[in-house]
This record gives sequence, structure tokens and C-alpha cells, in this order.
Amino acid sequence: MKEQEVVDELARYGCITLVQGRNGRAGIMLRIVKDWNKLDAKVRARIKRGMTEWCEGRMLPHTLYKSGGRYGQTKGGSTIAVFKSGQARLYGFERHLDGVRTFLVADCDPAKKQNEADPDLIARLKVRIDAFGKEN
Amino acid sequence: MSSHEELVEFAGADLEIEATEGFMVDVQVYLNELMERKGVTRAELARRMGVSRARVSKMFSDDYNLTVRQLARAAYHLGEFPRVESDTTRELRAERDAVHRDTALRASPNVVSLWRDVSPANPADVSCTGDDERIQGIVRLARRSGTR
Repeated sequence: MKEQEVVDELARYGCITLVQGRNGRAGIMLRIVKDWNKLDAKVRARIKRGMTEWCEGRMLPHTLYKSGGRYGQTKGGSTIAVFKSGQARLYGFERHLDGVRTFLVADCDPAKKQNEADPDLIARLKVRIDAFGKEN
Repeated sequence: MSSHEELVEFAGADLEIEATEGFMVDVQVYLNELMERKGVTRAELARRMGVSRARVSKMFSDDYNLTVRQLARAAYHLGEFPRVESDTTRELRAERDAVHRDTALRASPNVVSLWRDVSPANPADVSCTGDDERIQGIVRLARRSGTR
């Protein structure tokens, strides 16, 4: 019997699903996968679990997840959010895709070196998020 | 290797790390939800526990190895008597509940026939997939026959 291929619903958005829950899902843009895989296994595990709880609609501590605040919004009005573990930061945004509450990771800082987020990364991130918004 | 294959490769990575770090995150989310729900700040929790605010903040850091005792104390000072739950404890509880239910049914023979009439094997007027639907089916049968 031919094995049925599992289709990732986020594939048509150029993303891969990381976790799925009752109240949402979290995915990552394909271009970030290499950075994600380079992260320490503990960091990935913590962030994945944080995303799992986010998908369940739970209230996450600011040490794990932060939305808005100093990162602000993009020109297109998307609020930037970040999952954190150690010095690693996974920046992204929330969007309803196909009626499903979705968090998409759009950029990654594997080892934040200063207190403030890297301004170049944030600028790049904002452009990337708005481009995604225009395409989808 | 495609991005998807790379990610799938990661999925098979160290599950022990996922279980351990995942649980640590779960504990932090649990405490955070309790504090939000009860309107207790970190400073207030520190005061209640008789520890420094820095110690409470550490509970939410990545590397801090919170002891079971510290977790229980924090939960207690947030008004909870925490219990450990897992897939196995839930399974065991369901098994115990089933035994109690069967014992109760045996003690009430008039209920047994109704319970049998409305079952997944003999669904009467409803398609039953679980106990809740069976109970609803029994209520419907009872109403139809004029009993309450």
C-alpha cells in the first residue's frame, strides 16, 4: 500500500509547521530552518514547548514570549513578537491563515549580544513581515 | 537536503531534552498563569514565600533548576495544592472511575438495563461514542417513557 503523504498546510505560504494545538499553530519560514537547526537542542526544546503552550492559548511569562513592546509594529501594522530562550531570539508575528491562529517565525538571532535587539535584524524583519502580508 | 527534511531530522532529535526542557517550561507557564489569575506580582510572591524578588525571578530563567519543593511552596503561596498529572495518571484514574461506575451499576439493577439499552453496541436512539452520550441517551429514553 502506498504511504499517504502528509501535507503541511503552511507549505503554500513558504513555511513549515513546527507545532500545532487546539487554539493555533506555529511555523517557521523556510529561510529560517537552517538557523533554527543550528540552535542548541535545549533552546529548541524550550522554544518549541513555549510555542505548544502558545497554541493552547496559555499565558506565557515574558521571559519566554513577548509581543509588541520595544519591537513595535511593522509599517503594515503587524505586531512583532518574540520567543526567547537563553540568548536566542525567534522573531515573528501572529496572523490568521485559513482561519487558523498562526505564529510565524520570520527571523532568528541565535545569540543576542546586547540588551537591545539588533536594529538591523529588526528592520529586515519588518520588511520581511510586510512582504509576507502583501503576498498572502 | 531540503528544509523540510532538515526539520524532520530535527524532530527525531534528543527526546529526553524535549521532555526535560518542555517540563521546565510547563512549570514556568503554570506559575505565570497562577500569578496572572490571582493578580500576584513577583514581589508579592517573594514576600509570601519569604524569599528575595530575585529568587522568584530566577524561577523563570532558563538555567534555574527549580526543586519540586520550591515549586510546591510557590504554588501553595498562590493558593494551590498542586498535583502531578500525566497521561498515565489520567489513564489510571479513568480505570478506577470505570470500576466505581460498574460497582454502582451493579448495586442499582434498574439502571443497568437502561445503561445497556443505550450503548455503543446498541445505541437505541443515539450514536454513542462515550459515557456522556450514553447518559444523554438514557435521559432522552427516560423522558420519552414519562419518567424523570
